[in-house]
Amino acid sequence: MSLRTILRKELLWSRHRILALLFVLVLLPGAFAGASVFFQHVLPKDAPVAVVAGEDVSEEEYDVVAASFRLFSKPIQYDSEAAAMRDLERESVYAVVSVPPDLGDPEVERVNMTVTIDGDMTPYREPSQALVSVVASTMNRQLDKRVVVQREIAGEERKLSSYLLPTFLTIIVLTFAFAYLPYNLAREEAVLDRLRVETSLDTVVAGKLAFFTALLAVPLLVFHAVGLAMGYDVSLLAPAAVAALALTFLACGAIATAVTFASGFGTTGRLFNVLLLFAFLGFSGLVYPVGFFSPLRRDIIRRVPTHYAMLTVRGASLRDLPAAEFGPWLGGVALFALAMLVPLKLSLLAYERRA
Amino acid sequence: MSEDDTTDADTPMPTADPAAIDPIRVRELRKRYGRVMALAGVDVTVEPGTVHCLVGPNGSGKTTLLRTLLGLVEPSAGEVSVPDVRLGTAFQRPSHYDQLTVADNLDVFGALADADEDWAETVLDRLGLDVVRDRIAGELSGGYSRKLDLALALQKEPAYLLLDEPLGDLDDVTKLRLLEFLGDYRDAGHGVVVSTHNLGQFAEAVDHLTIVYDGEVLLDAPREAIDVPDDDLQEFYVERVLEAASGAE
Repeated sequence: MSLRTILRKELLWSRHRILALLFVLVLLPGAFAGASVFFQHVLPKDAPVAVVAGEDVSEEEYDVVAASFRLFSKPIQYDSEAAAMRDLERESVYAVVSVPPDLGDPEVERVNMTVTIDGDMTPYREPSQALVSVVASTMNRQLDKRVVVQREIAGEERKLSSYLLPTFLTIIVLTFAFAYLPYNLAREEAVLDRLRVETSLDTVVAGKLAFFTALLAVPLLVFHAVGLAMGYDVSLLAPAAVAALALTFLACGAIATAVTFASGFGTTGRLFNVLLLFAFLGFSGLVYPVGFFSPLRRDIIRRVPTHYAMLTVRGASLRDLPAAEFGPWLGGVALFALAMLVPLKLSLLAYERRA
Repeated sequence: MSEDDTTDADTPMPTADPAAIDPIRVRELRKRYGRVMALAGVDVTVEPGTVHCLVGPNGSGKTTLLRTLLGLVEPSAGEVSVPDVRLGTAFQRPSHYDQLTVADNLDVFGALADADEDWAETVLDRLGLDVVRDRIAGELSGGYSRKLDLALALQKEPAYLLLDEPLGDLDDVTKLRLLEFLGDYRDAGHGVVVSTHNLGQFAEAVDHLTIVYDGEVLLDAPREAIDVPDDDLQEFYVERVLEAASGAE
């Protein structure tokens, strides 16, 4: 009998928590199930590859090489190798190949071609081996000469564990923003009225964001120390990496805070922040290069500012590229962070109006 | 806590000149929450140097009125004029940092209000909070939790003290001491606004009475204009409310 009463109580509770339950039982599972559409290939199907065609290369020669890459890549024409190598470091392309100038020469019986990949782009190393084999086989079938395709690794071959260090740090930053910050805010909900009398919500929230951004220095130093102890060649304290992480936290922290206030510190807001955390984890291209994903997911990722923050953190910490290289990306993430202050301010106004 | 603990404070009560402080004025104040009219045209004037009781049953609009005076609620219509002076407040529910100690809370809010440290110590002593100064606020009993909120309000030497049900959770001895303290604070020239449904507790201290019912003011009068003994003041208020309720039916 008492069990029936308790079950009845649970039903009554469900009626009052219908929004949160719909979120947990319908929207969240639906979003996860639907997200399976973004996983379509084990190997990258159309990762961008730079095909460098110098002045002495004909259009036909370029077409032959580009066609041989199309099965597993998306060839992009470059005029200079320097520009292609720069984009390789920026993860805009994942391999660079120069069209041999004597490819179309009928008197030449053997042609060598080199596919260069970035040693720091660890996840692409094995797929690139398959790519080289396919390209060699395709070209040898198409041309009546022997084509030798070699793979060259620019820089040292980085271990996966070392490659993942900036990724894990970015995951920590996102989790901090979408999970810990809202939790911390909720713990202090009761004192907000007093704070509004003594100061303003704007000041309270600004202080909170500033403090937690500064607090990120601790995990950053921990990661740096662990990296040193493990002998990894990773510069997590590079200014561009630090700036990208701080801006990522500010932007995502502003979003999470806006959701928290807009939901009146409710369960729905907390769950929505969890959903946002998963969305940012899934659509920032944290682990795999964006070229690994389905066209739809890739298009989405390329529109997500935190993806460029991840590229900056990876580029600055793994490749020691100067901060100026990331100016446009950092500027974009900074603009995103600034833009997120608008919904934050609106949510604070709405909260004050409802209070 | 011994009696000595509460009387060893030697910092004198800060004084204010009531003539130099403008009253709080509320005219035709309306506040609507969706279809609910929480305040339906309220007129109240709170003078400095008085204890002003806003009394009414639960849901009558007292808290909304108090929160409007504090600037926490935006009026739907009407005029609220609060002078540019310090306001101290204790809410109905605890409003302090649960994870900080009592001393840390006083320190943080004291710094925000630029409070005088000696006076803050006196408040701590007089409210009997010195014995729990190093305790985490979230672990305090209901009574101490309320005292902490009162201390946070008082330490900033507010020209007006706005208190929402300040005596709930307090034991009888502490209630008496607090009433005495509020009387002293009023006598020192400050205004005290108390929102309560238990007027009897403030019968000896009240200088001005506003009875609020269903968002409207049933009575707004100085204490001396109400010809009822202190002991019967609660009954007087309840009867006025019952009359209004039966009239509404």
